[in-house]
Amino acid sequence: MERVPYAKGLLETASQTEYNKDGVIQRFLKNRLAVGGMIIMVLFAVIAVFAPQIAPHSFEVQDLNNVFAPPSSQHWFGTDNFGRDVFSRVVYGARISLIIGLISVGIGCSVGTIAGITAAWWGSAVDRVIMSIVDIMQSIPGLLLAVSLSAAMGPGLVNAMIAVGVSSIPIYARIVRASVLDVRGLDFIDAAIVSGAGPLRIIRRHILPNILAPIVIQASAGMAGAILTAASLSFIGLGVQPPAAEWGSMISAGRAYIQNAWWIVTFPGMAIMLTVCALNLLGDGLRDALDPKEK
Amino acid sequence: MKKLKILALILAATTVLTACSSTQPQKSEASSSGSEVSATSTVTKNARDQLVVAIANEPGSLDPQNVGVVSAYQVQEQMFNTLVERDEEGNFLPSLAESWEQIDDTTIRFKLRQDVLFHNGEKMTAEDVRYSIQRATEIPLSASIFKGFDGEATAVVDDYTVDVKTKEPFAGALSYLATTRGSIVSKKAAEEKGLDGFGLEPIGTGPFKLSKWESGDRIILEKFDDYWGDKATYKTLIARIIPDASVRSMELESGGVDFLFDTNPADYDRIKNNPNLVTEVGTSFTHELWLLSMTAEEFSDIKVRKAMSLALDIPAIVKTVWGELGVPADSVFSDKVYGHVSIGPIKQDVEEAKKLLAEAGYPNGFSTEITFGESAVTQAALEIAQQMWAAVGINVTITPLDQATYKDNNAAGITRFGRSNFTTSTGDPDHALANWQSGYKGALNANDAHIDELMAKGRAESDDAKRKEIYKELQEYCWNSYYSIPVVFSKVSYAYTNKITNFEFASTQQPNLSQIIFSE
Repeated sequence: MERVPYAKGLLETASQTEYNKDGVIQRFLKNRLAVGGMIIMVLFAVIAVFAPQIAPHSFEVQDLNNVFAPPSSQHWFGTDNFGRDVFSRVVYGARISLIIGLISVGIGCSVGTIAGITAAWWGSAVDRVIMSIVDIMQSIPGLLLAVSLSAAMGPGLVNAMIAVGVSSIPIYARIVRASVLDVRGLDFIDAAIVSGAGPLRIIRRHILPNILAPIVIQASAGMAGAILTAASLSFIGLGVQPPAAEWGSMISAGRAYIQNAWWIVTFPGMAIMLTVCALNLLGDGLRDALDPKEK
Repeated sequence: MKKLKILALILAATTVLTACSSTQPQKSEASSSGSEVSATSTVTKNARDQLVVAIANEPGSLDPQNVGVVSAYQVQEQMFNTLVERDEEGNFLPSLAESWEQIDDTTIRFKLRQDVLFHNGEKMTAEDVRYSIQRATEIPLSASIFKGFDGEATAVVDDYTVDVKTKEPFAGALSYLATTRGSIVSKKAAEEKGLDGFGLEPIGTGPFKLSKWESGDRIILEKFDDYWGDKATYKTLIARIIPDASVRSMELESGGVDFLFDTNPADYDRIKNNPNLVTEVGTSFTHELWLLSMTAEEFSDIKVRKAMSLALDIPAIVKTVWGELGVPADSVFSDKVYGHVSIGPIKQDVEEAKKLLAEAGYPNGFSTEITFGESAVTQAALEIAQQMWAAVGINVTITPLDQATYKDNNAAGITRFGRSNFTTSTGDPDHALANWQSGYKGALNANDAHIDELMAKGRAESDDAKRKEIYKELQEYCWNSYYSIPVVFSKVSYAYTNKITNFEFASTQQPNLSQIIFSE
């Protein structure tokens, strides 16, 4: 597999660069699955932002006289074991899941990028130390690392985001380091060094823009993983705590009733599946569009 | 190619989900034989030679004096005998002891059976009994329950006579001796194997002996052919360790196990309506209280404690979570326990609760955290309570811990707000209220001299009416102190396949399973 090319397009002539930029959007729009994924994600984002307006009921008010009501016009997705409206909970759950996805990807991405750039730019001892740490982290499976971190820090939304974020640092660090190493040896960096630019300026102005594509691709696919990991944490009781509506914990709480009330687990399960699917399709589409040579 | 793969994935996922949603509980087809089979007439012929039961936890030990979990008691009941047995009406029946008499205030003399063999072939003598009683007063896990007995002074009179001593006059002594902690163990085996070794290879006198313990999976018991009493009616008893309550239910429905000691409330209706299964429900010795520690400053004011109680609609919580398998607690111990009086249940009064909080200096409420040993049922009840507390301004965080951590926290005295789910296997109120006493390592830490005083009085009183009067006063005092929030008396709910007959119901949740008959 060829690694170098992300930056190459930008190095060629101005006209070619223009052509490539247009190509990205065109290529992306041609990919129907990717567009479908994006539409679904936009939809979820709208639902998350306008959750209070969309949800017909409160996500936490219990109605003990109306437990296990099957889906109806009153409660589209039925009610759960406490008589709470499952549809409203799924809607609010979109909020939590997207926040977790965004913030934990933010944590993993920013820390990983800094670590990767530092390792690649300064090299030698710094590189060895950072990459050893990354190797150690990567030797533990991501979910296991997140579970251990959550168990150590205690359950809760914030800790879950940190745990998921930290467990995804190694992958970003690796990708960024590899891309920086590719870009570093190119002529325009030498030109910048010769003209007296400091390392921070070179990194900010010349390196970061050129390694953005792989980071964006990883982030969109990583968000799917992050949402799934967070849901898994909540499922085993280490993530978001009740009464908050979180898809993973809804499935966990509802699984005891699966034989009597299928709707409690099915709808949050479908929400997770849709989001993760959509994000993966979006990620694939972005990769194909940004990096046509990889096909 | 990639797109195709993704499409296939979506299709597969959808199919799985749809399949899940439409699956009906599977029913085995062997139900046609009906109930006219008369297997009971020929006791010697049993249609099957093994019974499979499910227990909820893997015990760390099967040593009757060195364990504290219900799952262990349920297995031990099949492997050990006690001096006396307590029947459903609370009468004491002879078991290893043929007869007994109270020879003075603190001494009971037991005449033992002379034909009892241990699983290792040794004869049981008075020395084994003396050793077992002394052991129960010395090993910490049973010493907390057997503290009323005087192990040192308990003495062998002759080979088959033993004098069991109590430190003070002790009205409940026989009840304690009838629990699994009062089981008689082989002195020789216990001394040879040591405490840990004996826990894994216990030697008793019961109808079954331990055959194999497959850690994490099952405990296999085998019929003891030289048993002194009614011999087991089948060869093998397998106790499968299945922690998840809904999985236990499914195993029963699919035939993976034959018998459950308790039915998951969420699955009860389905199991009850399944024609291939039988459920037997009855009042139990179990009570669940949520405990406010007197070491936490926010609970030192009775107004705050009372507000915590008044905020809750206990009957609604119990109905939603336990359904038919629980009744709202109307006292601090179950109505099956000796001397129980009905006081409650708590009546919800949100306005009064808010007023009390304001008077106590919390006009805007406060925040606290409840910790407890993991239990899906308690967690569900707490999630409802959490909403009710929030309505009066009390913000309660729910934190389930694993059982061991919770017990450690209690021992270290750092639990502020906890939970006690307690089975008074003796049926004696002194046992039921054990954790209200000063010095008990629990979540309550009442340290209330009046409670200690009344408990001492009740323990020593031998007159029936007077003893009941003392416990009435004690229950009312405990109730009105609001040290605890009495929640539920859960019911015993056995469930088993309809091929089983001759099951003898026990409200202790520890039935003797040796006489079960299988029909075809």
